[in-house]
Amino acid sequence: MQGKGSGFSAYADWTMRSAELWPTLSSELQELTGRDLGLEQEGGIHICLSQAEYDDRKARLDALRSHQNGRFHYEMLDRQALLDLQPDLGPDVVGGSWCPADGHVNPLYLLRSLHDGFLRHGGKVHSDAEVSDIASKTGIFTVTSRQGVVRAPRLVLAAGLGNRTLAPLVGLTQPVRPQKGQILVTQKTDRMIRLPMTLLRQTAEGSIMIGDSKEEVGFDISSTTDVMAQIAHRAERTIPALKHQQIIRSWAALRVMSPDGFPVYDQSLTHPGAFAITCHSGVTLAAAHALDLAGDIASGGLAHHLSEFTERRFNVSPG
Amino acid sequence: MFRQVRPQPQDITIYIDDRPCAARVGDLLANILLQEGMSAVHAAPNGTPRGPYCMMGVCFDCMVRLEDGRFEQACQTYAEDGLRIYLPVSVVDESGQ
Amino acid sequence: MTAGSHYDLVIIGAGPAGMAAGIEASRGGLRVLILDDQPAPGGQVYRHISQNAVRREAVPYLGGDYWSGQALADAFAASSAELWSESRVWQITGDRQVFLSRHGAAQSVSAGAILIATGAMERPMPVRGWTLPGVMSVGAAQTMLKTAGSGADGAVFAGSGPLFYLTIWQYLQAGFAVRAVIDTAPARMTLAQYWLALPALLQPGLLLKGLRWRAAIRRKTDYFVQATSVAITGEEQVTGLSFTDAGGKRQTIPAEHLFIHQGVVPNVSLTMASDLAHRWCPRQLCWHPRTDLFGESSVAGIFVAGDGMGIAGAAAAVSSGRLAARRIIARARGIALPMAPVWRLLKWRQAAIRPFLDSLFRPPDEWRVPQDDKAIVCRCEALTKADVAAAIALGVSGPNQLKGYCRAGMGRCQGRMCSLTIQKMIHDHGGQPEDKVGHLRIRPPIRPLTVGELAALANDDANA
Repeated sequence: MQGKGSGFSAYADWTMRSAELWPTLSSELQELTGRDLGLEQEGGIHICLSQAEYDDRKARLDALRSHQNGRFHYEMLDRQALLDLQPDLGPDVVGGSWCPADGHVNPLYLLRSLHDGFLRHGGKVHSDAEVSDIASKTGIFTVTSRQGVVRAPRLVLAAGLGNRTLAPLVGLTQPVRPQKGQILVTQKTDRMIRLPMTLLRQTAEGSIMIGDSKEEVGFDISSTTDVMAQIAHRAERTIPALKHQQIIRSWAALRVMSPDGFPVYDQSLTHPGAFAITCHSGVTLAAAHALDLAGDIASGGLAHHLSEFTERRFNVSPG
Repeated sequence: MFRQVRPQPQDITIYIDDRPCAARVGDLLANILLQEGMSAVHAAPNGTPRGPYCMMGVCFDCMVRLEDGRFEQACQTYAEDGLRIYLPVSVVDESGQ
Repeated sequence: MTAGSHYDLVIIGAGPAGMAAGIEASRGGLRVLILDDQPAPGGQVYRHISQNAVRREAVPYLGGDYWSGQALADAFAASSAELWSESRVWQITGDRQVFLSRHGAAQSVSAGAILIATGAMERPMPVRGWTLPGVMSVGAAQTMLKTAGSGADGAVFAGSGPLFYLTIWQYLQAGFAVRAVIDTAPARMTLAQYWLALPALLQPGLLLKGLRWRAAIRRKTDYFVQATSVAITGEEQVTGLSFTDAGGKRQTIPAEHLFIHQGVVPNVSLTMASDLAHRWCPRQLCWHPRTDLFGESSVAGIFVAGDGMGIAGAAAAVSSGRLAARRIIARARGIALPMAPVWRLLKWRQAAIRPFLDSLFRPPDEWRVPQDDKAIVCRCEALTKADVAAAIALGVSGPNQLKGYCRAGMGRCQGRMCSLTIQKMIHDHGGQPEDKVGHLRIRPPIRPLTVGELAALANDDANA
């Protein structure tokens, strides 16, 4: 949560709203699917390994707070204060920021619960259904995929990077690009990480996830040793005791990045009934998407407070 | 119980959960454990006991903890004098599962 | 990140293929490094051979096939190939850097060519009870014989295949009392199998050996054929084995030690993590890296030899290692390698018996996907067939999406013990052909290494 939205206050508001709605989403999904998502909102830390990092962090968060009229809370903590939260921090840790609204949730449980919940609500899923065409006539969209043809009066394009090719079919642009992130995952181990940190967190099962990178390399999702080593190095500097933890796998994936890094939500003017939505923080924003945005789409139009997320802010030519 | 066709002279001592055990330099740790009757060495996430299965490093069910805290496969670890290993037979997470 | 030394050829795995390639390549004047994770060369088939050779007469029960590896091991030791033992390769890159852990530290070497000779492993056998302490694979039983001369009296063996019969025979030779042998292969050969047996006549020695082993087993053990509906009993450890015998009667044999086997498959962890192309082999029910006649993969300069390219046995492994080395030498010299049709014929001849064996000992479906809902499919995450089936029923595009839903394949073994099972389960559910379902995506590190080891590699160009 913290650090999201420096430079774009509508996004900070939106993220805050999602954080507030998360407990509701979590209990709704738990009731629907029987699965606990492992939501913890006890706050989270961002660690700084040099004075320069600390100063930069403080400057960003100060700027963010000044846009937020007091809604956004955070504290800069010095080394000693951080040690109270996580006693075994390494000597390179100079301080960090703490945000009470920060937390984490198990993203895999979320994914499964959303999918499961959708099916329980009567939704249908066609897997392995790459879309090759979208036609529209008299307000009905005809979608052709590898699994056949479906028709509906309302269409939501949420295909992430795939929206680049699909959005023009409904008069939109969705200028997103891939941004690679790599992480490392350790064996399950005794609880070591007390609070989620931006780059270090421990799942309920005990594995430690170490991240991450931001690489502009196109559609490459390979795991590369130079990046993995940097990630491991920073983690070890943060908590030296990590050095004996066994890494059992790496992972890499592509973020769906817009030019300014903030979500893009649009309803098509040329093809009414068609929407395109992308973001790179689908887990953080899941509650806002499910309990706010979805309602807008169902009732036929995006609410005013979401108009700041239109693709037109990028001066794209109409599709 | 596992037994050796021709037991070899044992020239070193290793420690399993701090209990001394005679062994021979270079013995495969998994063999030692099995010959001592320890077919269960750690627990799966659901708590059930697990032990050596493949003896070639692909099943990861013969995990033991070394003195420095690392988890290692017993079938890829060799005995040296004074080696200390601990068997994580019961692994219980904070929720008690 | 700077690499360490450079070698003309880096071979990964010191089994028969790796050793043969090492000998050939170093004779051909190349600077060769061979990396092996064991303390001494031999791979699995010739495991511990140099140590056993010190007092060969003490281990007669391992048999002639094992000892035929001694000449190879001796020639390898005498060659100029450099050997790094106890070295675990965890990644190789397309530009032929090899990352390994050795003496508790990670390092890399660069190679003009790489030969992956990491061999095979036993296929997963997800029957009810296979995770119980006291249940081990037949290969594990053989490894214990090789590395410690140890075995268990009163053990029960269940399964089929060449390694199965060989190991039981070795157990009997070593003087262990085998309680029972439960053979899961069909009792009668089909017409098609008689036809396939014809090329096998080119290797009569192998056929005779198999018949001899089976005769000894029939004589000296309680031998049951055509066993189906196998279930392993026990709560905290194995107590026995139940099965339906050839006459349809349910039998239970008590056991404290149970060894199971349904054949071996290429160990594709490294080849898949290196993004080499693979193809599904419906005859052997496993994945093979795609290679040309010489073993070169879809990535230039990266070769595969031995059982890791397809199950064909130790003799074929030696030939394929040698052939790959010759190709690499020829390329280093800038010359062509002649006589391709001859190599092709030799390769075929050495593997002539395989189609017959693959058919005869094809793993029954109940050993590929459990019949019992409570049987464990993903060992590391303790997921049952029911757990995995529930996630598949949500609708998955393949094993990777399934992994996201239920964690199958996410544990320490990184899919080695479950990818083939979940691939078949997805196929059975949705009907897509197995080669389209695919394998779990494998990523480096293919062997665990510590955060500290990996972090130390960043010191070359570390910033805050």
